[in-house]
Amino acid sequence: MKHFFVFVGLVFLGVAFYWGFKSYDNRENARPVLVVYASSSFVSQWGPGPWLKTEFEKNCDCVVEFHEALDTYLLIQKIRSDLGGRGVDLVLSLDTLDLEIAEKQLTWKELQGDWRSWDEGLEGGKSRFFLPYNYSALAFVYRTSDGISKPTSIQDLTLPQFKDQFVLIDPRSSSLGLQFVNWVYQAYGEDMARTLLQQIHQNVKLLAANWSSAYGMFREKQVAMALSYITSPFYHRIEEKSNDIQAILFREGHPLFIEYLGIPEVCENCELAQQFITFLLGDVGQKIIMEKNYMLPIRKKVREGTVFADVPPFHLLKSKYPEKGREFLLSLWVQSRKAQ
Amino acid sequence: MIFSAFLESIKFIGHMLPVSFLRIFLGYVYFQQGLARLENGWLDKPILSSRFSDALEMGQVAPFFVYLIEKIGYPYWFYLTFLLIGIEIATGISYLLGYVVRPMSILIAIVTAFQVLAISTHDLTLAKLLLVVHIFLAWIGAGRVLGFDYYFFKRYRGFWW
Repeated sequence: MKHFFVFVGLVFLGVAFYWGFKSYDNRENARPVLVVYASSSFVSQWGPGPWLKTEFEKNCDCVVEFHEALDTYLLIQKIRSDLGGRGVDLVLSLDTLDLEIAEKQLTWKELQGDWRSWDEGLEGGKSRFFLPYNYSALAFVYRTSDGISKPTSIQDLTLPQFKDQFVLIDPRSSSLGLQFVNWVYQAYGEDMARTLLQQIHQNVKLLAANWSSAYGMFREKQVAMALSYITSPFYHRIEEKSNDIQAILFREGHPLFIEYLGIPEVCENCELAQQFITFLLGDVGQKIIMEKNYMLPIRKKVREGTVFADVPPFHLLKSKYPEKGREFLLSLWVQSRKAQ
Repeated sequence: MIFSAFLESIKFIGHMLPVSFLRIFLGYVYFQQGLARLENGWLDKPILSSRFSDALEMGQVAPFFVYLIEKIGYPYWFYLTFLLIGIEIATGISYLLGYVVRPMSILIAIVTAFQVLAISTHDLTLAKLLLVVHIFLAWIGAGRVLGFDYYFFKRYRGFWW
């Protein structure tokens, strides 16, 4: 038993020594931590998160800590459940439809933005608490090499020739999916939208939980078309040197998908969060976002001379937030599914 | 001498060799788990307390343990965490080397029994299984094959090797 007690004693001594050394080291190197919440695509190793972190940390003597959630709606729920939102300094990846729920469920600091120097179309989503940092337009993408005839409008998606040809995203689990419902609603109004959605349901091949799954199915050629962004083809153009994948232009026009950021009132490093926003909306931050998130920067100047200047000219559908709110859009979707 | 006895154990108790595989694997798991807790700040924040709270919220804790958690678990979370991490790392090293395995198995079996009764409601089946494995290792004297316990067993005999 002497062996046992000596052995256990030595291990405990080692643990105590290690912890003491670590605590001392942490105190010596204590740097403020900026806690940023964003969607999983933003913080993943392929997204802009790691690049922004590296660039920002070069000048701030701080640590940027990204936390991810699967989707924006889940992100808000996650922040709410995370000890009442304590310790969250900055939230990214909020889209237009999220702003209402974000404003209702969390309190935010007021932010000042230089709206006049930003792209046209962004003004529509002006808010006291949130600033846009990138945007794109909703669009379906297809492979030119498939040789299929492509739809020219949302109505075309209801035609028999497009049966089982495309994937949609479930609006109950994804903001992008909800944006599609809003697109149909804004273009056609409530009654027509309900009818169209019913018919679209009959043609859709798969209903994905989020954008990643939907786009994955499209890339694996399980479907010929997928709901995505007008800038999605740039990924293939830059990374794969291929022009095969293109966005389809619809005659109804395309609504903008704008992503916003906000600082929760409960932030701990609020000053640092403000500095991060300045960096994110500056030339370096915007360029990283454009090249890694494959979305358009909010200032035209940043994309000049890059492939992102070649966005196909599309008719902008000036969509506004439905007065009846998010729940209305969800009920529109659910009713059209039930009536199928 | 001690190292030759280490290999000699395979010759004499070779039929128990597969047991050492289980012991070494568990040793790795415990060692890694203990270090991870140390690295993840279990001694800096009352993470153990939040585990107690989870268990209490699930309402599966026996009344006696509710009392223990309230009187000892919450106020002395640091000492309990220190004890837990120390025992996990000690078990890891012990199982990996095959040194003082019998008393160590008994000690970690007691800790696991506490987990079954008071904390680990999420992984109850796993905790119960681990409890059985620790008792098995203690019973068989698993350090005596491919381990340093064989040397001490030859030299001193007795219950603890």
